[in-house]
Amino acid sequence: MKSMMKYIFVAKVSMQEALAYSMNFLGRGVFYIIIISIMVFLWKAIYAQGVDTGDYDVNRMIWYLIIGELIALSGARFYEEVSNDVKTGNIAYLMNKPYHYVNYQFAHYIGKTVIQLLVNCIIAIPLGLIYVGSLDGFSFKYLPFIIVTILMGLCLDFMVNMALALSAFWVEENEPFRWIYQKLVFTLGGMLIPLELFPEKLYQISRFLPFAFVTYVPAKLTTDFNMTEFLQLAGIQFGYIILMMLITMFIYQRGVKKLNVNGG
Amino acid sequence: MSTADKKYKKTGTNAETNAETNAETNTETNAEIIAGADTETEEIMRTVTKEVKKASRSALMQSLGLIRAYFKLNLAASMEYRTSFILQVFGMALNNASFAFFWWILFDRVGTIGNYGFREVMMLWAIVSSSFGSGVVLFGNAMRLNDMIVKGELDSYLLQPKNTLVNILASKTRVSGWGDLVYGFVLFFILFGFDPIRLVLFIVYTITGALLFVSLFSLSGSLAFFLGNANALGNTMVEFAISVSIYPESIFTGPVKTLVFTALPIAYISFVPVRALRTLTLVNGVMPILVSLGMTVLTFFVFHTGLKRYESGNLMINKL
Repeated sequence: MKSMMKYIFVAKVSMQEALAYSMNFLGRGVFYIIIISIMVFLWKAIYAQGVDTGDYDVNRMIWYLIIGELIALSGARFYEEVSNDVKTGNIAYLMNKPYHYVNYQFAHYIGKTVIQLLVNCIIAIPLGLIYVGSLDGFSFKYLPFIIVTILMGLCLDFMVNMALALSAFWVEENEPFRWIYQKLVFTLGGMLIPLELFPEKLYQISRFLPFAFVTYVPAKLTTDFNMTEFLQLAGIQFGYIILMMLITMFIYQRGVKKLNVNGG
Repeated sequence: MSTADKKYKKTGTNAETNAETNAETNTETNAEIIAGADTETEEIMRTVTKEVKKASRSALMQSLGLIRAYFKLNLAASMEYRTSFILQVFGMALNNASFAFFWWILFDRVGTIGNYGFREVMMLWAIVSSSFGSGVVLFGNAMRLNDMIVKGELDSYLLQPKNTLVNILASKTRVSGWGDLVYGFVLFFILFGFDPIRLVLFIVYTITGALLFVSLFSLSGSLAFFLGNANALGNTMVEFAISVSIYPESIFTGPVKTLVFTALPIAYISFVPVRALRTLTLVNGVMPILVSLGMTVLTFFVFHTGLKRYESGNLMINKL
């Protein structure tokens, strides 16, 4: 428990830091408004043509996209920082500190992400209400479960990004890995379009890929909550987090062993 | 003193002498003198215009020379880390291609959106990618202008006898822009094959789109001269420009449509060029050229007006 306290403290400090530089968060909030507004224009134009989109009517579709974008835009950015720590050799100094580097970054991420998530929620809810009214069939009793699945989606996103960022131990220019992963979340992760609209075979494959558990699963559960489905999907989500955590730790251990820092 | 100034002084003296000498001469003589003075004034005006044109041409040539020199240097520097260069180029191309997947899924489901199908959206992507790519490859600092002004990083550029804005913008490149540029052209050849007329048009719209992107980025960056740190506002303009230009024109209606065709002329980056590529009509074909030139002039005007308010940060930085 004592070892946990220092990470809780790091998260707290990160939150304070985030609040001190609130303008940065507002900037991402404005981008969020732009993207959602464009999506609303797009889907309203599609629905005006009378297109059949299965279980997704315009109300559910817009709220689905709002939640998907909310997750994609709330995760704190750390990729470049970690990559640079490795590339510049700065990680050698951070490893000696009384914390685990990956855990420290995770605590830092959680602190900043919680604030960004709150800011985005303050924007998202009125935005959804203005564009399509309240979410049909939504009940506040499901909210705690929805929050859990959103936070787990963000944790999974952190783990994958961290594993990719640590590739800097072997690859000098690792930024393209992040771009590609991010676009996989946009597409196969269902951020831009619900997976149910994919061709059947592709849907059956993509719904079990890890990308879907970052955005699709939380957005789907928010717009159409079902306890049985929640227990199943949250279980798989948790499994993916553990798996990615093990992979990340493995990469970190291997990377640290081959670390070669010159100078001081 | 320039030749034009000397001639002007001479004419001035002549006109004064003429006025004194011929004060009491008849109307016919006066008319002759006036006609003579008019001819001489016209000649001076012609000379002045010629001189101004020559100076502008030489300034333009100098700026183009500077852009070419920076381009060569930046490319050589990027190629120094070849693996990194190739990774970034292919990474960005793949990154863009992922959106094609989204549009394929969507159009497979919905057929068309307004008068746009999958092919038309890919045309948008081709033009936007190649325009954005060439813009940031040649003028890599365009998206950093706000930061540079706020941090007072312009000093070293002000000391050089080159156009300040061109010097600032062209001094850096963005390697990933090559990926966008390559992707745009690959997409064009997939869509149209080798169609010489459309290829020429596509190259023209790549240039006009690049000018419009760089102008919009620079204008949003120049806001820092007037508003202090305008990063949030500038970024919003940038994100808005990029995001809007890659969606079908028909989804934008009302005030947003008015905005993208007027105050923020994003429509001329991709919507109007796509119309031109589809229909090969003159009005659609020419408008992006006129608008991009107008925006470029406006950008120079706003930047140089703002530059008078610049406060140095006493910071000397590496330019490359």
